[in-house]
Amino acid sequence: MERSGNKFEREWKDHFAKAEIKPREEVWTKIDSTLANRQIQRYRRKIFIYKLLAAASIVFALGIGYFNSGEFFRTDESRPDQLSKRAEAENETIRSGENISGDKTDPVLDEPALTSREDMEMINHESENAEREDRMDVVDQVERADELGIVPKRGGMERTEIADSRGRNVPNQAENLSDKLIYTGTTLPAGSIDIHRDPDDNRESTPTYLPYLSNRLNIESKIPSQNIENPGKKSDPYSDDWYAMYEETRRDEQEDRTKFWAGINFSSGVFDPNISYGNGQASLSDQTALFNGSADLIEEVPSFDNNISNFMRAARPEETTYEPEFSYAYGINVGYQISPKFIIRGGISYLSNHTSTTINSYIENSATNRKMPNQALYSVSIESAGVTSVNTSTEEFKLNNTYEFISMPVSLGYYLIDKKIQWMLTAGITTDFFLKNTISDPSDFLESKEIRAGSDSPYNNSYLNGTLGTMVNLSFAEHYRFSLEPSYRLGLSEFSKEDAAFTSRPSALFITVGISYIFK
Amino acid sequence: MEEFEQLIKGCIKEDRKAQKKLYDLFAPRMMMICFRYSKSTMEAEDILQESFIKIFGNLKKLRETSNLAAWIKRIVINTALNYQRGKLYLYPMVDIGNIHLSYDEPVALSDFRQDELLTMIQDLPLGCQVIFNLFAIEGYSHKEIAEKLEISEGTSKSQYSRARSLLKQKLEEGRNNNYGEVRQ
Repeated sequence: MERSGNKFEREWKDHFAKAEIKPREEVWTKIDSTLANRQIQRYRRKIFIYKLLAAASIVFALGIGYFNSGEFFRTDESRPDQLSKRAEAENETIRSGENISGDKTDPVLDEPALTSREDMEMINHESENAEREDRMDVVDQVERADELGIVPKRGGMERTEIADSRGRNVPNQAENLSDKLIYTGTTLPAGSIDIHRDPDDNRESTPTYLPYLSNRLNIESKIPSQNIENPGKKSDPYSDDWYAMYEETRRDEQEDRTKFWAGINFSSGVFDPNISYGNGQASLSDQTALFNGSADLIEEVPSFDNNISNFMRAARPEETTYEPEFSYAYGINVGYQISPKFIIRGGISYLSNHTSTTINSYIENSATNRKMPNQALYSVSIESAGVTSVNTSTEEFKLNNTYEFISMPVSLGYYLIDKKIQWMLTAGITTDFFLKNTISDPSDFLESKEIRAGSDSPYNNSYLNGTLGTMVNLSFAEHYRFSLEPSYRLGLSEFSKEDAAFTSRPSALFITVGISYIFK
Repeated sequence: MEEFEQLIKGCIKEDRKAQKKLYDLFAPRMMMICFRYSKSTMEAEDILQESFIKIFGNLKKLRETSNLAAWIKRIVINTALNYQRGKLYLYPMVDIGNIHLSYDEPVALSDFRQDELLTMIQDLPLGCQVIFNLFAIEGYSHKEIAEKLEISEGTSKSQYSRARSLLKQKLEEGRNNNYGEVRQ
């Protein structure tokens, strides 16, 4: 059929080509108000996300501040690997000749060297009360050192003196150890006592400092006490054997960090079901199955053939918008460090996702005056609902929509930083098991409805999500760890069933905080 | 043209004055389209309102500002179709069959006022009304209409044929009434 040559159509087209009708002012007023409302909603969402981030940042900052103010980082410095690095750096400084005044300046700390027991006690006093016992040991040791003729050094100390004064080749390891001893210096600055200036070069006297010094190294438990007491044997700090022990200690500590942990977690964020109706129209076959109406189609109640999906296509909300609202999850998790760089973890959580849905149509049973959201047909049969019409309203209804799930995540983590503060990237798969969807109208104009998992539900009983995130961990109190993890989830499979009137592939942005107990 | 682009930029930035200006520019013509696809003023206003909300929400997706008028018109028509979709399915269109179409009969719409013609269109059954608008006034082919409404091409043709004959009947009646009024 060639339309363009037809006078009839051309006349109508020409007649309406430039036809105008001025709308009433009220139309713009409504548009203005809707636009303003949407702007407000958008701002609210933004503010909510900012609040969430701010809260997470505050918690994180408080955590950092708390641990930073205590023993936390000092013990970190006392870790052998940290000591080694810092000692090497300082050695370099010393070798390059900086700060070697030879008189009143400590070559390492750039402070006046300690000259007396009182000085040392003063510094010890600055350490925590918890070290009182430790401090007394030091005093005893210094007294013993005095008895043995070891005197505190007044000036700077040069590394070369060590070997010369001992009259033997000091192994590099020993020199490193000396460096480390220097760097325990928050309580006993190295150089303040020249343990190598024993006038009799009595090697047996030097190990008397080991309990204190090794304590500073936090490795006393790894050194057999009999060796400390019998320094002529393996506990000789200048022997390769001793260094081997030290290395072993270091390895042990690292191995200690290979661990299993379990914890609890709480997440909050935003969830978007990404529901799309697409064309959302019934196919021709659907229509013929649905309706047996005549061509005039006047006032006929259609036969729905009890086919909910087909009916839903017809009864789809004419205008539906989904707005993400506050969502949360809580649960337990376990993890295991499978290699120095990788961890694997899993868990189970209860997940409550919230959205608000704005619709302008609903179904109605005119006989009973029951009005329900269109989706209610998934929880009641068409017959029992007695649906007689799909109504389009000039007003919009804002419905609360809650999706509840049991969520089972499995993920791998890769350490980017593995210190006391750990930072890792995480990626994994989460299976969400659908429990129910509750649709409620706060204004009570429409009945609330629950759609539970099952054959009548438009949702699959479970669907898969891919998850990407980054996690920051903060260890405290030896066995505990605080974690903060922003993550993004995207549905890998459809949440909606194939024959549903819509498609849904949800996405979500969550920030998770958790506390874990580490089994060493 | 530059001023026009500034106006669009203002709308994208959600400047309410720019949005009102754009609305004032296009609303009267779009309102007529809404009337053609609806049965009442209230419906037409609802469609217009929803259309402009979509227009303002999606303006940033518009690639060429020179297509703005056509783009706005398309949104209004699609919104109108969406608006009527539920009803279209409740009152389905079927293929009447054995259509006899004649294309050479003369019509004289100039005898009628615009509002009279509009009422004639609005008085058509909904399926006929929508297909008549799409085919005769918007210029879609039956194939395009069939795809758009997910109906068969035959249904589109038969519904259009029905619309056409109903309109001719109404035109005839109107003409007779007018002559009657003149005679009296």
